[in-house]
Amino acid sequence: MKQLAALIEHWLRNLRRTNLPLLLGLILTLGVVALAIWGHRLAPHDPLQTNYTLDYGEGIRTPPYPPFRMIDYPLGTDQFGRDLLSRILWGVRPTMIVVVSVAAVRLALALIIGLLAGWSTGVRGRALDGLISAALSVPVLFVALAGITLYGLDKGLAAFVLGLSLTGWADTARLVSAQTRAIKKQTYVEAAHVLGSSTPRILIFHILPHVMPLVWMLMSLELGATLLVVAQLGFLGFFIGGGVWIDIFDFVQVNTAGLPELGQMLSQALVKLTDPAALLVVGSALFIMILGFNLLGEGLRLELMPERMRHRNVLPAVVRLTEWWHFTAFPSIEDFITRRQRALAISTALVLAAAIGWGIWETRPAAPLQAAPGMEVPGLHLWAAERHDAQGTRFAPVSGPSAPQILWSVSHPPGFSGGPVVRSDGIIIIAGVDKQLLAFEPDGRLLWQKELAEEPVGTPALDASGGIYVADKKGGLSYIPFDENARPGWRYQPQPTREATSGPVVARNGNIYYTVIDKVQAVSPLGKGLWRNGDTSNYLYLVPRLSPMESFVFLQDKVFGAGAGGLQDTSGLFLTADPQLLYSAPEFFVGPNRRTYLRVGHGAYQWRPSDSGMVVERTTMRAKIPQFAFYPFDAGAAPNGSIWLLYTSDYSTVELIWLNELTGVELGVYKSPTYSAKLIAIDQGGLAYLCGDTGLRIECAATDQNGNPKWTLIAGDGSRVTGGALITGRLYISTASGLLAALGDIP
Amino acid sequence: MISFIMRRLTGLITILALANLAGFGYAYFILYRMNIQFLRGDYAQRFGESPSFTGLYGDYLQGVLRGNWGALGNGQPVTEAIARLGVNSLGLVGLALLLSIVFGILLGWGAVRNDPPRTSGWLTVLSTVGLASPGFYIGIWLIAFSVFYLLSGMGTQPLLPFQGFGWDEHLVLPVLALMLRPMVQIAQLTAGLLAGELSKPYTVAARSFGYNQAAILRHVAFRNVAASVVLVISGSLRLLVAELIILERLFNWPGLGRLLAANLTISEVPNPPVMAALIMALAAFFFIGDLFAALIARALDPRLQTAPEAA
Repeated sequence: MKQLAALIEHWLRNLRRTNLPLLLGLILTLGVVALAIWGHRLAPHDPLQTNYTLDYGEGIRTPPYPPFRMIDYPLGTDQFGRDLLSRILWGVRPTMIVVVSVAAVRLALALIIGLLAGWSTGVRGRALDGLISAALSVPVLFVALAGITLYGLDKGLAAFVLGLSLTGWADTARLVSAQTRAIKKQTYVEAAHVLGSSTPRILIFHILPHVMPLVWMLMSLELGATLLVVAQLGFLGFFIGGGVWIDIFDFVQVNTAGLPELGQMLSQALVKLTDPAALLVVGSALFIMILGFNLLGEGLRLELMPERMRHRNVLPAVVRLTEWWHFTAFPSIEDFITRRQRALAISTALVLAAAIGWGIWETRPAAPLQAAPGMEVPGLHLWAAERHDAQGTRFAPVSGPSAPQILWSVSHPPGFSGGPVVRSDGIIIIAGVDKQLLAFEPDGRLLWQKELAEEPVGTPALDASGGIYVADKKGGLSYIPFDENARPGWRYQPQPTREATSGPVVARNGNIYYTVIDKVQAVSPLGKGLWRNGDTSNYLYLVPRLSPMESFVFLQDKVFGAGAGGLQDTSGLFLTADPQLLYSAPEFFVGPNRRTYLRVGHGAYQWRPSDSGMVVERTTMRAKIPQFAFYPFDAGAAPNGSIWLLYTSDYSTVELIWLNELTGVELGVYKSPTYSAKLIAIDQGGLAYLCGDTGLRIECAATDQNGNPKWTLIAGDGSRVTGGALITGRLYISTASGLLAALGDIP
Repeated sequence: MISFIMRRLTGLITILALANLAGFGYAYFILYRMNIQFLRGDYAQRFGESPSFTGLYGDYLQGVLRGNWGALGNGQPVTEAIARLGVNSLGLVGLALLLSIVFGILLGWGAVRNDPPRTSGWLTVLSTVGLASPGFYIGIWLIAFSVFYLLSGMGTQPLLPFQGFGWDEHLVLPVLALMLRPMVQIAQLTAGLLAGELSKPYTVAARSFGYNQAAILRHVAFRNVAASVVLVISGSLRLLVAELIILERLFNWPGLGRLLAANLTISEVPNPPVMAALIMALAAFFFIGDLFAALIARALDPRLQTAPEAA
C-alpha cells in the first residue's frame, strides 16, 4: 500500500512538473495533421452521398438524422442526409490547407514588419508602429469579410489568404517588434554595428535567430487564431471552394463545394436552431482543433520561460529527440548550411509553406462522388418512375450503350401498360395490362409475377425501400412490397371512382402523386388520401412532376403545393407569354440542372418565384419557327442547359430539336422516320435515346446535341413504345404489344 | 490632460472623415466595380449604371450637410436606424463588457500564486479552453441546452429565451456567449501581470513587513497593473464587437452587427450611405472606447501622465 501511495505521489509530482499543455497540444495537433493527411481514407461513407429517407428503428425519417442513434452514422447527418463523420474526416484537409497557408503568410508579414518596426527609429519607426496599431484597431473578422467580398469569394484560397492576412499579422508583429527592441540593446548587436554590419545583415544574422524560438510558439497560436476566424467566416456563410449549389428548399439554395470543408459545413448546419446537433458536432470539431493549437502554443510558451527550463520534465523519448537535434542533427545542418543560407532558408521555407498549401489546394484530389447534375432518387434506384425520377427530368447520370445489340427480349402478349422501372440491384419491374406485375432479372429471366387488383395504368414507381406503387383504371393506387418481409401491401381507392391516367411518382418524403384524368391525387406512404386538386376538364395522360426540392407538384400548366395541394398563382408567367402561345399546351418541367421551366410554344421560359409572383429569368425560343409545325410533344433540358423539343405524333415522323439556352439558336436537329416516338433518356454525356414505331417495328437511336446519330437499332417487332429506362451500358424499352427488350453493349 | 484630450478629439474628426470615405468607397466598389449587376437594382435606376465615385460621393456629402445621411432599403433614415440598432448593440456589448471585467479581474486575482509567483494551473486551462471557444460555439451550446430542456418535456417554455430582442431575460444567453472570451482574456492578463508584480522587490519588501498576499495585491500590486488591465479591456472591446456580428445573427438580436454583416457581404444590396454611416459609427465607438481607456489608464498610472508631456 505504501509503495502504491509512493508511486502515486511520484507520478503526481512528475505530472505537476510535466508540461501538460505541450503534451496535450502535441497529441491534438498531431492528430489533426494525421486526419488532414489520411482522414479521408478513414471515412466510412462517401461525404457527398445524400440520404433523404432512413429508417433507424423509429420508422422512416427525413434528415438531419441525430447523432448517436445509428451505428452507421455515429455523428448523425446534415440536412441532406450526408454522414457528418465522413464529412469531417474529409473536411479537415482543405480547412488545414487554408489555415496553414494563411498562418504562413501572416507570420512572414509579421516577421518582416515586426523586425523593421522594432529596429527603426524616428519617423519610420513611428510610421511602422502606427501601421501595427491601425491594423490592430479593426477586428480581423471585419477586414476579412470586406477583403474576401472585394476580391471575390470565387477566387477561393487566394481570397482567404488576402482577406485574413490584410491585418491578421498585427498581433504577432507587435510581439516580434517588442522582442526586436529588447535584443537591439544587446552589446553584441552594438558590436556588429560598430564592425560595419549593414542593417539588413544585423536583422537577419543577429536578431532573427533570437526571434526564431518565438516563431514556433507564434505559429501554433497563429494557426489557432486563423482557424477561429475561418470558423467565424464559415458561420457567416463564407467558406472556401467554388462549389455547386444544392437546394435546401425550392428556389432556396446553398453553395456547397464538391468536397466538404469545415467552414462550409458550419455554414450549412445553421438551418434549424431547434435541431442544433449538426452545428454542435461541426463546432466541436473546430473547437478541438483550435484548442490543440492553443495548447501547443501555450506549452511552447511555457517551455521558453527561463524558470521553466530548470524544471523541464517531458517524456524521455522527447528528451532524447531534443538532445539528438541539439547535439547531432542541428550542428551538422549548421555546418552544412552557412548562416546566410540559413536566413535565406527560413524565408524560403515560409514562402514554400504558403506555396505548398496553395498547390495542395489547387491539386487536391477529386471527391469520389461529385455532386453531379441530376435528381437524387430515393433508394438509389436506377430508374424509379416513368421519367426516371419524380421530377421527370429523363436524365440518367450514366453512360448509355455505345454500340448496342439486342441482349434479350421477352414477350408478354397482353401488352404492357407503361414502361419498366429498374431497382438499384438491376431487377426490372413492369406492369402488364392483364393485371400482372412482373419482375425480371437483369439477364431477362422472370423473377416473379404478382396479381394486381385492377388493370394498371402507366409505369410503376419505386420508393426508397424498393416497394412498388401502381396506379389503376379504377383510379386507385396499390402498394406492392418487393419481398414478403417488407411492410404489407395495400390499395387506396379514392372516391368518386375515376380512372387514373398516369403512373405514380414517389417523393423523397414517401408521398405518392399520380394523375386522375385532370387532377393530381396525393397519397401518403401508409395509403391515406392526402389531397386531390386540378383545374381543367381535359384528359391528361401526363405523370405529375415534382419541383427540385419537392415542395411543388406540376401537372401540365398548373402548379400545386405538395403539402396541401393548393393551386399556386402562375399568372406572372402567363402574362409574360405571348397570348398566342397559350394555346400551345404549356407545360412545366424541371431540368437536371435543378432549374424550373415552362414550355410554351416552340421554346421554354426558365423561371423562379419572387415576391411579386413567378418571374421569368431566361427565355429560350426557337429562333426559326417552321410554318404549320405542331407544338412539341415533349420538352426538357440537358445538364448543360440546352433545351430539347420533341416533335412527334401518330401521323408525323420524329424531330428532335436542340436549342442553345441563351440564343434559342438550333444546335442540331435529329430526324427519324418513326411515329409516336418517345425520348427515353438523356445520359451524362448529353446523348438522347429515342425509340419510335416504324409501323411494324421498333427503332431506337442515340443522338448528340448536334443531331448526329451515334447509332440506330431495330429493337424488334411491335407497336407503340410505352416506355423505357436507361442504365449504364443498357437501354430497356417496352411496347403496348408486349415486347420488353434490353439493348446493350456486348461485354 | 486637457491638451491630450484635445489632440485626440482633433484626430477623431480626421478618423471619422476617413471612415466615412472608406465605407462609402467600399459599397461603391461592390456596386459598380464588381460585375454583379443584379446588386445595383433600384440604386442603378436612381443613379445610372456607372456614375463617377466623386460625383456620387459629392452628392452624398451635400445631403449630409443638409442633414440627410441617406436611407435604408425600407426607407428608414440611416441616422434613425443606426441610433435604434446602436442602442440595442450597445446594451448587449456594455453588459457583456461589464460582466467580463468584473469576473475577469476576480478570476485573475484568485489565480495568482505566490511561491513561486505564477498563475494557477486552473486559469491556464480555463483561459486556453475559453480562448479556443468561438462565441457562436458557446451560443450553440446554450441554445442546445434550452432546446433539450423543451424537448425533454421538463417545461413548455424555454428556461431562457434564445431568440429575439428584449431588455429582460432575452439578454442572458447572448451576454453569456459574448462575455466568455473577453473574460478569460482579462483574467489571464490580470493574473499574469499580478504574478509579475509579486516577484518584484517592493512586494518582497512588503511581505517582509508582514503584509499578507491579499493586502499586497489590493494595496500595492493591483494599482501598478491597473493601467495595463484597462488597456487590455479596451482591446477586448474589439473582440466583443467582432463577435457581435455572429451572435446577433445566432440569437436574432436586431443590432448594428446584423446590419453591418448584411452590408459588408453581398447578402443584401450594399448601400453606400448606410455603409459610410456604419463604419463611421464603429470608428467613433472604437475611438471613444480607446480614449476612455487611455484617460483611465493615465489617471491610474502617474507615469503615463508625465511621459508624453515631457516628450
